Amino acid sequence: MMTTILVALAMGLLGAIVFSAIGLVSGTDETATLAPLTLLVVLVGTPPAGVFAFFLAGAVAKHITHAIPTTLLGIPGDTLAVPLLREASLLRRLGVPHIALRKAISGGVLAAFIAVPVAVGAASLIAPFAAQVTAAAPYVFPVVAVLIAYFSRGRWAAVAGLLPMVMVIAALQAFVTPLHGSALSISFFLGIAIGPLVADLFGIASPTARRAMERDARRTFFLAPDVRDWRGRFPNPLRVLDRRQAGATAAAAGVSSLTFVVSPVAMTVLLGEAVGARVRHAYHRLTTMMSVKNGVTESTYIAEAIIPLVAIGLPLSPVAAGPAAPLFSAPPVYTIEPATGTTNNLHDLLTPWEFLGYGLLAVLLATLVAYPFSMNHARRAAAWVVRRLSQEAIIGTFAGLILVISVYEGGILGLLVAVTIGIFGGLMNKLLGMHAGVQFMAFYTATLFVPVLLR
Amino acid sequence: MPPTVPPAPPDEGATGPNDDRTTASTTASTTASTTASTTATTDRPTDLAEVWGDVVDVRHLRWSVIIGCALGLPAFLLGRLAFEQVTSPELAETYGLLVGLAGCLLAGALCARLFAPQRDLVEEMADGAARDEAVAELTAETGDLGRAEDLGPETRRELRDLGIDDLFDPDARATAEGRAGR
Repeated sequence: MMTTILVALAMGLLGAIVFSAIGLVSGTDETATLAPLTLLVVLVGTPPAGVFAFFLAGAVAKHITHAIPTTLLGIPGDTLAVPLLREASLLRRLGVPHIALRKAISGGVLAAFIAVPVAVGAASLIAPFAAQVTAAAPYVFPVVAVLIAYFSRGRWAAVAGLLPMVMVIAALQAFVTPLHGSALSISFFLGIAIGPLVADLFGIASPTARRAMERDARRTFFLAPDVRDWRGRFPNPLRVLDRRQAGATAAAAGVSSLTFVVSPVAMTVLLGEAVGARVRHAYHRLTTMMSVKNGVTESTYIAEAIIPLVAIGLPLSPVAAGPAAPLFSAPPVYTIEPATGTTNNLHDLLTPWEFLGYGLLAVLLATLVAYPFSMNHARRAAAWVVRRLSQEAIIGTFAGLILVISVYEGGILGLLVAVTIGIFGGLMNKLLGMHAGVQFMAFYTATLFVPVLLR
Repeated sequence: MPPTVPPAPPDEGATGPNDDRTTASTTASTTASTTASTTATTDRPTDLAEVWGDVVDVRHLRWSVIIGCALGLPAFLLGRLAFEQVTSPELAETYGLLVGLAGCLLAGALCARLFAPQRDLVEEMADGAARDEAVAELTAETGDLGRAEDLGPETRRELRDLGIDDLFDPDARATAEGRAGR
């Protein structure tokens, strides 16, 4: 018991530190970073509590630090931060970018602490129906795939795109399984997560495609002016928000922690505008929306990861099928049986109480690492990343990682699968707006539903 | 952007040249600046392109990918081989993976040292015009900015501490504008 807690503590701390750093790099995609590293943590044999703490602490920490590029540089730290851009930009032009940052991350931290217990509670309400859902799993996936596809940027194109994507995955799987001796999954997974990068690397090698990617000038970042007025080391989120803001954020977080099918971005826009319309004073509206919106993003995200994980064990939400996917399926460690839909993953290895305990521990660790850092060193950190950490180095690291992990799973075959799915999925993503979550659902449809269809 | 990236994977040799021509003409006809940049390619000292959401120097990118793969994969394979001598094959796989990860991170650190980012950082100064613009945008949104009475004491203090309470006070704004012509 004691060792388990220590492992969770250590892994949570590791996740918080690593993803606090990754969050500073604007534009790093959630799925492309969180999924492969969590996968790695699972594969090296980390105990379940450690895996969960790593994932959740990483996600929460990344959400805190990605508010730094969003508010100080005016570029979204992640796709999740896009709904905050307007308020962030207005506050920045008013000369108070640091207020935008503080309201956002304080709302996020408050929401994270609320979301974990509410989501675990909601999950235990759904849990009695889990057996039915699991029994119908092969049929549930294609339905959810269509839903998630329709709500992606690609709309009907993404829905239609499911067919070729499922075909390609099923065909490749049928081809490699006899050659490799068992089915591959991590390589498919990596290919999907990192697809846009693979597509871009192919593009840059092609004289035709490259023309659209060429740029005349270096990219210019505008760093908001420095405003030094913070004293002390560990700020209290509840003092940064006023009472109405804390109340509104807590209420919105509570509500959004109950849902797990709407994407975090959609939920954020919906609830953010609903709260914003009730605040009369312009400045107060901006800061309240900053806090509520970031809070809702955080709570929806956590609920989408936790509810399917605790209640059902199948990745039935955009977050569960995307960044959190290794918690559900990471063969040979965590598996979902194609024939029966039975699972052997975190759902089976941790009890709801453990999810609650380690979940709160993870949020606490992320807060302890990322929150004071963001309050005290945001500007310097943002400037350092822009000046010192080249995109080339980041791409080099990830190229190496794809290579190593795919070869680890399936040797040359694994690599070929990762690259094939990468270029195909990456183009579907870029051209049709069919994001990685939709493609993961296509993967589950191909591995769970197609075999049933063929039987 | 028009689909300058051909939707089909580049393995269709027969249609290749055709694709080439259509793409070239679309690029040329859409924006003059794109054409200009293409002609300038020959004598441009750097070779910039947008990859994975940020601008990179393509020559540096090529080396980064090579370094990442060349350090990562051998680190994994050799690590696995070394651990196989001392432990079970499954554990050796896992430890090999960790050595591979270390190789990738080392490659990342090396590339970060070798290749500087293709970014410029401009430190903005506080800008009165931008402030007024933001206030105008907020006013246009709902018709007015709201009154100080709508705010709780904490928020009023916050605005005062930030020194922007005048911006949101119509009377103070009017006098300030009259005085300083802001």
